[in-house]
Amino acid sequence: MARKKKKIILLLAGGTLLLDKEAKFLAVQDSLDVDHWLRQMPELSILADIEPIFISGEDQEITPQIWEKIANKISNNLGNADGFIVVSKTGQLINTALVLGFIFQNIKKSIILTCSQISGTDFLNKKEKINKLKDKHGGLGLRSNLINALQITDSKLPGPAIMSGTRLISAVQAVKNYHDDTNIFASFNDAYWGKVGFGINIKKDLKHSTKQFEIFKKINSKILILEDFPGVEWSVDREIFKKYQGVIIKTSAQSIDQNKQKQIASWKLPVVLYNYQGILSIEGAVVISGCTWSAAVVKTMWALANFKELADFNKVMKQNLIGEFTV
Amino acid sequence: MKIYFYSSDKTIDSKHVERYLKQVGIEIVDDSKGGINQDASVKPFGKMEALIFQGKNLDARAGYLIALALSQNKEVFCLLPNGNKIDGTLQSLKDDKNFNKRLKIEFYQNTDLKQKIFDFLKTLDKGDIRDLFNIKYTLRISRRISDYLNWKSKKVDMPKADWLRNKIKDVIERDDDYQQYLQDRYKTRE
Repeated sequence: MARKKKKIILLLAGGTLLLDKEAKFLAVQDSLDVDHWLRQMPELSILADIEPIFISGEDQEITPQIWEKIANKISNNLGNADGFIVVSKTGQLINTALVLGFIFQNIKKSIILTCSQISGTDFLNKKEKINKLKDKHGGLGLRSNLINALQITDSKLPGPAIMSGTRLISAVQAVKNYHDDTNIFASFNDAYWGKVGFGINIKKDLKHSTKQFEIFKKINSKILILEDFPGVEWSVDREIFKKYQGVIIKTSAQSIDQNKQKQIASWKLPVVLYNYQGILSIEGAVVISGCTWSAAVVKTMWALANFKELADFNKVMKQNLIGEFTV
Repeated sequence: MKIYFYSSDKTIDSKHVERYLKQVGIEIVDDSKGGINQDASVKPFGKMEALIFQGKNLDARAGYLIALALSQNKEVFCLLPNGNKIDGTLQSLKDDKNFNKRLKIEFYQNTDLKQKIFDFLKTLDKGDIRDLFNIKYTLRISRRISDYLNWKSKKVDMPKADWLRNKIKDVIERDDDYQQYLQDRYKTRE
């Protein structure tokens, strides 16, 4: 009955909380925890040869340095792995997936991201939710998420995806779902790459890019993120901009008033103006719409790091690189 | 009893397994029905008692189902044709103390296939999990019965629910017809 098992690299960056056989909480806080943690799920070995790599602990913040570490590990193992699974913190999973999508453009191997339904070991404010999950699902969801993620790592997907609950969601379409404790992520336009029943049914007509695979490893976190409220004046001290290399502004308005436009022009920085539904162009900023806010922010961070010339930055921000613009 | 059945071979043996399970009244869930719990449960095995796998090769789907069933504490029964080697991973899971009671691997020939399944179903019947109090049952009672239960609970210093469960267990054990039914449950007429 010998069969060749796929080799999967399992990168651990938080989101690892699970209940062990004695119903005690277990998480990976440092590299020494990995073996014991993995031994709680021996059934995973049926599906793949798993090589775990510790990236960061359960209670560590996910920072651009962590993203770059994940990217380096994936890049270094492209030749010897059949696919990659990244386990990371719930609150940052979408951003992590997006970062990997922009870093590894048109990658031919799958990168699946998943997590436990609870992240972090500060249980004080989570007792009710944890008990509800234990009663309803018998655990925190990580085992079945990992089993499903392992099952799809040899499927050809157009880019990184999040496997959580019963859904496989493209990174560029993923949003947090606060109304469902089974599916804590959803697709903002209700389009899913796959759904789980007894197995994962991958959508048949997924569009794959024909472009060459490219890696862009840098991420620039020195961006100022602002939210504009129409009618409310901005009062931004110019000194602040010395710390930043770019600005992204989210607005619900479809145009920006003259006064704000003048301020934008005075900053002398790359500026991205975002409104999901659309916004009138202005001098001194690139306007984008039709993507999630998370995708807009992550793309700005990525573009700032990889395109130093303003014209190149503006151009690439408008391009639909990884399917981030769905409208 | 509900059982998920998967065969990687789809040969005459798999048809025999399916036919036998149906004959003894087992509700089979399989791929042809598209599974159940399509309403987005993360526990697709839900109320199923076990997974039965039959086949020469542990294909990707079998591996997935076995992993999922074990992760949800379900019994897994692997039926392999005589002469086959056990997949290395299955063997190591069998050796794992967490799974060795729930993962059963049997080699069969045509002549004893039914017997193997019969023996497995009997172990399911006897299994500890069937004695777990995990089914919520709503029972309307009269005031007279309620008064009696309150009185009895105090008299024997036992919660009402425990006393009632014990009484029902006694009734089951003393019901000869039912005991005979359990004996014959998985037998079929040749």
